[in-house]
Amino acid sequence: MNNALLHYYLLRYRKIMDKAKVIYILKRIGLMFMTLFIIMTMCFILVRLLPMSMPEGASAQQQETIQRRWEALGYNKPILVQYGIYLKNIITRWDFGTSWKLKVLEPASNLLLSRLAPTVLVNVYSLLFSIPIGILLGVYAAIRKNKWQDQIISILVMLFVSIPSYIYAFLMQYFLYYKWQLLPQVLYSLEDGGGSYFTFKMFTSMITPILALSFGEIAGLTRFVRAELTETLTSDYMLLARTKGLSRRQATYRHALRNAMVPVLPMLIGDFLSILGGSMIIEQIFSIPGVGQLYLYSIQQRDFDVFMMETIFYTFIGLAAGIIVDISYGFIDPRIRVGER
Amino acid sequence: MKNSKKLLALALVSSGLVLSACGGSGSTKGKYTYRTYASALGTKWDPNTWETNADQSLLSYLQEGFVSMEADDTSTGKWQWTYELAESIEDVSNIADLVKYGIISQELVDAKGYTDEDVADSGYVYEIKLNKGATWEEKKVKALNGKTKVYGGTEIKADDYIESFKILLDPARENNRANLYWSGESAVVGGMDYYYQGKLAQLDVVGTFGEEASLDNFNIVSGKYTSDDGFVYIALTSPLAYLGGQSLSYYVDGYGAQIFDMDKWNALVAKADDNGFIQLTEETAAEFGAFLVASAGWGEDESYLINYLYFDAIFPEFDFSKVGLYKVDDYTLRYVLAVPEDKAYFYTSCTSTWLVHPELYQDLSYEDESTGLLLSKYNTSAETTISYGPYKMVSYQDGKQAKFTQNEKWWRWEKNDDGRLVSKTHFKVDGEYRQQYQTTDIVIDVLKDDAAKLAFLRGKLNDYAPTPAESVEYAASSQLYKEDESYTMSLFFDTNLEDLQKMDAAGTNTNGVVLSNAKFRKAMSLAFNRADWVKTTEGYKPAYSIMNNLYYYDFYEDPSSQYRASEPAMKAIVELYGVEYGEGKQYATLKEAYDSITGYNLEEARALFAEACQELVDAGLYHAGDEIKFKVAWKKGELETTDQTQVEALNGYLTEAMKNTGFGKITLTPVGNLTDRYGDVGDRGVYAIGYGAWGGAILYPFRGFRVYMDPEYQPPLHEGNCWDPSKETLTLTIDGENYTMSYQAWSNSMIGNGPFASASNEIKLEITAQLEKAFLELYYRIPLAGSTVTFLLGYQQHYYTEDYNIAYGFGGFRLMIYDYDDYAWNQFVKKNGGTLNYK
Repeated sequence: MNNALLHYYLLRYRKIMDKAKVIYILKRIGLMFMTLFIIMTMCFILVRLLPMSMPEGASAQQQETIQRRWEALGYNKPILVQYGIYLKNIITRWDFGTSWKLKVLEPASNLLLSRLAPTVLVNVYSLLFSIPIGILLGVYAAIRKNKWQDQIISILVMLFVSIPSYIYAFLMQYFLYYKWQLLPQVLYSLEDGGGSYFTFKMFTSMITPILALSFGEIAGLTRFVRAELTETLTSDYMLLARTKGLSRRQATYRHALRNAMVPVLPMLIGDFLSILGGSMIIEQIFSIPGVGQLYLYSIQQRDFDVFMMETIFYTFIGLAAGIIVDISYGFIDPRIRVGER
Repeated sequence: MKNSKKLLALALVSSGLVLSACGGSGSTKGKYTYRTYASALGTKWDPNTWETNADQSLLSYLQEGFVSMEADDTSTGKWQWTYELAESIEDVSNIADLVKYGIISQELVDAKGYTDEDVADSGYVYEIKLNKGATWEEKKVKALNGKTKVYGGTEIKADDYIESFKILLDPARENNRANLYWSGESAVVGGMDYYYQGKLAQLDVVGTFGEEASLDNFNIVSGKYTSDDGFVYIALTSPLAYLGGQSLSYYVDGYGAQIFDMDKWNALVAKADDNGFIQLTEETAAEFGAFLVASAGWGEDESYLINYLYFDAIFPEFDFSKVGLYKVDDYTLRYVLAVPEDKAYFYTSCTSTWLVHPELYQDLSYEDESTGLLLSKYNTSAETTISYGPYKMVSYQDGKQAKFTQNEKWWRWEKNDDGRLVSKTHFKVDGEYRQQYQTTDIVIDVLKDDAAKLAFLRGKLNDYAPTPAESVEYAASSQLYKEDESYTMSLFFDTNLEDLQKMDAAGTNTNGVVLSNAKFRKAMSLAFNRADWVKTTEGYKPAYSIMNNLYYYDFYEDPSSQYRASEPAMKAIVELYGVEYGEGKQYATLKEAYDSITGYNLEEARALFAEACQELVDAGLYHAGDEIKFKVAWKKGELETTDQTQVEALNGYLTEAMKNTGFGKITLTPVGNLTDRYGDVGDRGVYAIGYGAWGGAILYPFRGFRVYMDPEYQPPLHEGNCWDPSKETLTLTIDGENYTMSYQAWSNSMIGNGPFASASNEIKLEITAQLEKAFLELYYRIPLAGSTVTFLLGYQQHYYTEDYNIAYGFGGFRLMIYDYDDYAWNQFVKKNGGTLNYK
């Protein structure tokens, strides 16, 4: 890299990352951890306040044994002491506890990690499918504003935005699996799917959940892009561009679309981050052994450490997505000054 | 345009690939795959630590018991014990073993001149001869030390059982299934001492020190008696060696003021902790002494105090050689019981074993940092699972799927001419040796019910459990199987006035205090039209008693010995509902009177409601005409439409019966998603009414009431806030004589060392029936319906018999018969357009 280029990048970096921005970002990160800590504390206390229940039908001897296990686990200590132990283990050993119900003796973090792949895959595929379609439909509807094409798209958008994804999920299963017998009903197991989540066979079993997740995403994106682009198309600079001799298509693609994408891109970044969270209901319906399903099971079974691990995970993802989206505005559109008063 | 064509071509290719991926795979001829589903998979099917039914369901394919209950003659419902891992099991009780394990002393034997003949068939020592040839699955496993090694493939010998037993009872492991073998009726002698060694426990002073027992064994520090490991206690409710294993409270509750000074006793009880212990101090010693002196009929004074004491002690080290399981030779074990057990009951406990592969278990063990326990990864994944049953686990994906296939090392498989593994029963069913375990592969998928239904109708699943509403649609299906359960769904109450007032104040109920009135509760029972109620949803039969037709009192000797069909049991229920029979009465015979019971009597219900209303108004607990609302602890899971329908129907019956009785409108509202509805109605007093069932003990109904009456056996009792069954007494007339005991004592009177444990079945029937009647007359619990399980089996196979039998079901998985192999089945489904109709 020659000096001139280096100088250019340094200048650009300084321009982007001025002191105010750095302070703002650090402040946001600090606040994020504080919020995470507060949520963690609340969840921990609330979940431990729930009465510990013996399995129904446990004999007196069994209850005694279980009681001894709880004692050994420190469940009978004061809640704040338990929380202190919990935090200490996280900080000193990166130990988020152990599963005692869902996968006995397995570290809670392992349980979560082992279930990330199917969740992320299904959701990434869904986004890769939805984003181009959503943007294309949004652009098309904006260009054809108030024409019949726009009306139809708008009606469909309203329909798909209003209907929850699990309804599509059931419809997908009914038609694509049961009626037309085209696709598998649920996600294949690793054994049936060829031993990996990346086989073609496995992919075929992901199509129905991907579709079920995508309809709402496509509709949301279409509506957003249409609204942004419609506004941009009617702005003064578009008129100027046309009067300067640009064709409608040229003006739209060179100027309007770029500007319209400013609010869309952060939305997509947020979507990309939130896919880690997955969709609990979709995972249940399509038997996807992902983090969403794990979260539900951990609540049902009162597997405290797994529940806490998932809560921390979801909270962190949500908070991080918020920060990244906020900061990204400043990078995407220099007119937006991040952290300046 | 060009691009569009490319896209279209790509789409067609893709869809072709998709369709081909969905097609059949490989040769399925001669394969019989059973595909089933579950809402969740088990997570640890370790025989020592399994917890849930889902865990046990996985385990069931991988193991066998010593014996099994199988069909003999399905036309008559006759069943048989069959030997599986055992070649024989015999009672070989003998003096040498009894002395060796401390069941009787050598001095006693010498003094009385006992010989083996005197103790023969006493039910203490059972010899289990092992079947030669039973073999472990052969498996390469990576142990926790990182080394990969081949385990199994060898014969199962006596040492495997001994080592497994050591692992099961290992105090460092605290296995939750260990209690099956150190406590209860199948407890091995020494098991408890071995399991508890090194742990703090409270021991009986006399039981420990014998004749040396004295207060001098302890120290006094600041007026408190102390042992080397803690304190000394007066034991009010714990079993005492001095009283032959009974507790003092047992006698106080049984005899009451006839013998004991109840004021002083109650003062002592008030000082006791949850375990019935009072710390021994100079002051409490004097108080207890005063109680003994004042209880003149008991014939003791303060010098007897030592007999009622427990002390803190850390269980001493206990060598496994003193535990009553030992090897006679490579294929023979002896099991010495702490308490004698009838052969038939010992057989029941032998339907499963404690067997694990000892070497693999140890190699997968590690010390858990957080608990300090020694734990094992044995049977927690396909890689760490080793089988000795007909199937072996081939894959397991947490939260997704488990797969099994034939375990080629299973000792009863034979190779067919075409190389396939087949097996015939080693016992005759309906006069012939039948093919067994025809299923070659088993797949368990985690599926939601809706998904399971679609898969079943497409022939991709072999069974499906329809919802109650769906069961009606499939009622005429030849593939619908119905199984009665021993559970009687009931409403159970908290009738404690203070609790009810608290709940009213908290807004849980409105005028819930009415439940404290016994007439109100009885009227509720008579208002319920059970025959009509069970029609609101499928899966139930009307119930009028605690125990239904599934309970047998002499099952092993007499397959027709239904408790419910016995004269005392019928009589108890006939009297409970006030049905008269005999000459000149509406019904000529007891049977006719019993069969006529519906539990529904609107007229009497109305009259009782009117009386109850008056009593409640007079007591200032209720204002006539005021609305009554109850939240009912209905369900552990989420409430469904059927639950609402059931409760609405109950509301309808009550509204109808309460018309013009002085009561206002009554509404029961179900509450779901409860963690422990029994505890919420019982000791926690959160709800006044609960809905649920209890079952089990079907082969010995004489112990069935412990669940309701023995707080030491089943804490907390569901109706625990209604009463204290350890204090309330009941007088029963047995064989012309009156006996008075607490309800708790009655519930234990026919087991263990209970006074009627060795009585004849006729007497036990009499006691149980009278106890059932007395309990139901308290109206702390109102039986409503017996539950049934309904499921559909696919056309690919059918059960051996369609007549359900409590011993062998429909013949079970073992005798299941396939009408199509997987290939033929796929063809059959295709021929039917890919979807099947089971209606």
